[in-house]
Amino acid sequence: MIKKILIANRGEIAVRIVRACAEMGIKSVAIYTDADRHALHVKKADEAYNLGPESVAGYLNAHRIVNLAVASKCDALHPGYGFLSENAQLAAICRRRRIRFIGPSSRVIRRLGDKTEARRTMIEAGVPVTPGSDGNLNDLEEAVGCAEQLGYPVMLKATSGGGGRGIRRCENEADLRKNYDRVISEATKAFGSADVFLEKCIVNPRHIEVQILADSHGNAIHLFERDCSIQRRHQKLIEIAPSPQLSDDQRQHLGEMAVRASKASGYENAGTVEFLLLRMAASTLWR
Amino acid sequence: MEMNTRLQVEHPITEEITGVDIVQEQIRIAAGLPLRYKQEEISCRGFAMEFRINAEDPKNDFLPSFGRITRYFAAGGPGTRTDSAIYTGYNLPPYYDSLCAKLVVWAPTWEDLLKRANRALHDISVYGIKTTIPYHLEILKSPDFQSGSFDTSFVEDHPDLVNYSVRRPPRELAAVIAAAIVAHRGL
Repeated sequence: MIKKILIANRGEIAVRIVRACAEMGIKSVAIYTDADRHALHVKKADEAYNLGPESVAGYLNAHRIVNLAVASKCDALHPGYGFLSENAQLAAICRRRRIRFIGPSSRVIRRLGDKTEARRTMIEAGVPVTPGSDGNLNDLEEAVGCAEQLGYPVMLKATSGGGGRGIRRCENEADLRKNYDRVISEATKAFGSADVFLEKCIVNPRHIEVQILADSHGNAIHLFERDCSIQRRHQKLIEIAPSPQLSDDQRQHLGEMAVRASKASGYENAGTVEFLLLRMAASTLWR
Repeated sequence: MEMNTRLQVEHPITEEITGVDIVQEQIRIAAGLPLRYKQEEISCRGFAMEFRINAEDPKNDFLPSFGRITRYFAAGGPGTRTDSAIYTGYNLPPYYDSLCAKLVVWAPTWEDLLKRANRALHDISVYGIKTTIPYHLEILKSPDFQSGSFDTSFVEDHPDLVNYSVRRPPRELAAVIAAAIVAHRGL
């Protein structure tokens, strides 16, 4: 069993992980920048190490953080959320340095970070996805033809994008023509990849996500869904579990789809599968 | 298609309805242990809701409101959980996100949950900075929210919810004045 965990995060989630460690008899190690000298996670953890003056960059330095984990004799690292939590490189460095990364493997993080590859995996597994282009787009004319078939509005998305960047809603053909080069340039700068694809825009969906757990022995289960529709500018404000607007059949169906998605992607550890549900046709599930 | 490969901010509500400690399960999985539960052993009981208490001023376009927390009282009582990293006297640094506490409420039914959430949001107190607490209380009062049927356009479709009165009840006002005197005198 794991004996000592470095928590590569701050704030309430770092405190949450300290609490789990304490209940399991595992030692916890906090890291903190100068700005966080008086932070609660530093006081609550068994040990704490200073990262210096860089308030944000300190928490993003994967090599330095893993070095600290090795030096403080940790055998595992928990990334929390935000910061490096979905960084495939951190998972890879941990593996090389024989620190257990508490999350999926770098391979799985990379595969699910590539949105067209993730879409292909889900389609093959029979999980419903939002209608969209067949893989990446070759050029603007293909995009226009594809959008015509899907019907406007469409979302033009960077294949390696995330966090709301490299994504544009296009209301009509003129919009798509105007945004095409812009999204490619944004994607190239922000994510180092010029690949883009199209999806039909689901207008005012309900945002439902299913919690899954998968172990290294091939077992995967779901823990039902959360309704995160109450959000402001894509920032969630209130979340509800289970969703008060799903029938038991829909709940069952979504859970099964999420487990299928997890198994198809070779997932391991805790993860979340997001679904966008159309309000008017609750029986039709887009994802 | 989105699959988030991490622990989510809102994981506690799932813990409340299923009784599964997701962080402990994560650690066990990373250690190579098999899942402790089979699908048929997972049941869902009641409803849970999480309020993100952000250091923001809803009346001022949700502008971040960092600074010293002069007083903080966590919410408590039945079905109430607070996950936070703040304490009285803590200086909320401006470099990070504005989340300062997650108020998580559980109840056996949706109707009970709405009442308990209202009670818990009155129970938690954060002084010294502006927070999203009064805005959450307004959302709770909205019949569209209470109906349990809404989509991602809810916030945009209810711009009036930021028009709450900032007049504080006398008890809270007294506490704020007392805190100010203490701070001023350096007691």
